[in-house]
Amino acid sequence: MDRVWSDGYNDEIDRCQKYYCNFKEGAGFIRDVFSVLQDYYQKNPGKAMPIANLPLSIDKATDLMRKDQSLVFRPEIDRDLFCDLLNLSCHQIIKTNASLNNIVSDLKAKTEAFRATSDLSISLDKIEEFRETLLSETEIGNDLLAFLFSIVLSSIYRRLLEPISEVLRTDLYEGGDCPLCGEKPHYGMLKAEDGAKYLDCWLCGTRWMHARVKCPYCSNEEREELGYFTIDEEEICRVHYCQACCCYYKIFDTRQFNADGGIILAIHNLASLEFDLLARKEGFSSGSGLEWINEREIVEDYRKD
Amino acid sequence: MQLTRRSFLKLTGAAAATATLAGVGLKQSSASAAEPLRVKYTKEYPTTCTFCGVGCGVICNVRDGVIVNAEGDPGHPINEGTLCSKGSSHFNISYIFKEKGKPEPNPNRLTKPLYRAPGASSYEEKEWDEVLDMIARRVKETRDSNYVESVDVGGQKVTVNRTEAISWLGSAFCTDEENYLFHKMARAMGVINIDHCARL
Repeated sequence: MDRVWSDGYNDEIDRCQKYYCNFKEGAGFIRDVFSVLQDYYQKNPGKAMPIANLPLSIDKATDLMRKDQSLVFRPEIDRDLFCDLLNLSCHQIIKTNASLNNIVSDLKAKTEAFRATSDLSISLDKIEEFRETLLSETEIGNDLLAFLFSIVLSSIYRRLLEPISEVLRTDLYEGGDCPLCGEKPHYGMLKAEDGAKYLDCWLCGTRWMHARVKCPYCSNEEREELGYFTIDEEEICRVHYCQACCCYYKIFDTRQFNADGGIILAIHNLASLEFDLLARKEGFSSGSGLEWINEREIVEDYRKD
Repeated sequence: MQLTRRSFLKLTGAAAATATLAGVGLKQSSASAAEPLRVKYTKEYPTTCTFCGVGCGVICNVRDGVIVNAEGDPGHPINEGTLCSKGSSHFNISYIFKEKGKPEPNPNRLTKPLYRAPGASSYEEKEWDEVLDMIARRVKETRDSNYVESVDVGGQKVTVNRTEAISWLGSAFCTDEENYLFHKMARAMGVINIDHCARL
């Protein structure tokens, strides 16, 4: 599995263009963003050095896995790395759509202000505060912010936590939150080999098996309250929902293209954003907390209704 | 989402000058109200294959009350997601095949208990509560009227507490624990003819 997206993202984008009819226009932008992030890491190999040791003993970690308890390991990250990557991604937005220059420049200015007032290492809580500030003080939509922050943070955390994710006994874990960092998943896949459901952490890239008929957010196993929906022509993406907690997550059926292992689900997630909108329209909210829908879309749909 | 008139107007105004994913080509709009009928809801029902005594786990996909697919349950300890050729075509049980091989839901599929009264020539539909009460009553009547407390063995009275009027068949489609409980219940009633369907 290519946790750090070092290669393979181009192939994945090509594949997604075949399977998701609305992805053609945005594929170039995604390719550019992935490309600049990878270039940055190649030019700065000392940044985001993998953390080799678990925050606790391997026995204790294994014990937590058996009890379905996450390690909730979210180390602080390098402030400059985060701000540099955010600026690079912003630059790609302007390159793709010059009319967004003023708005995105405002975001870049606020990022520099954040850099100037923050410690060298910053926590996820601090970053979340920064995101909230941007949401209230700039004209950047919540969906674009979700994209920017998730792509930048996951590129960092995947590198930091890759060695730990490899040795963690996720096969013993049956919980819904990420066993390593504790984030709630937004997407997963049905494995081509046996149809097993695996959830992917959007932040650190840890992948773990989860019961097919069970809600990862509220652990509901009542089959009458669980289900999924899909749409014609794009049955590769299933939106699983739980009527008890009214949350949804996306599952990509990799049996339809028969490719295990190296699949970059983050790209499939970006290629299938119409499903997020559909889920919101059907009355479900994002269980992961990642808001991939801008409010304008919802307003326009209400107008049509 | 609860959208009040005020928040609607606020959102409408705020949305006009916002940088969104749509601005970089990542469209979400094909799922608009214009195409609501494209959505296909499906439910997944874990169950047990009915073909043989192995009792493989199956997940049935049900859409609008009709089984559209059956696949091995990857979380089931026996088959771990695999199914044999018979199990793979399991969902066909609920269909009949008309002319030119077109499948249609079988109109004769049992969805309610059917009861044929003694002497009657046809079946009538019953509710589960009613038939379960009837079964319980008849089991008790049969057991009570045929209960043997002791038998004479070589001139000696031996306590047996049994009924030979009832036999009990276990099921490969139940778990070990369920079969254990059924066995206990049968023994508690005095049933001694206990067997199991697993014959492979």
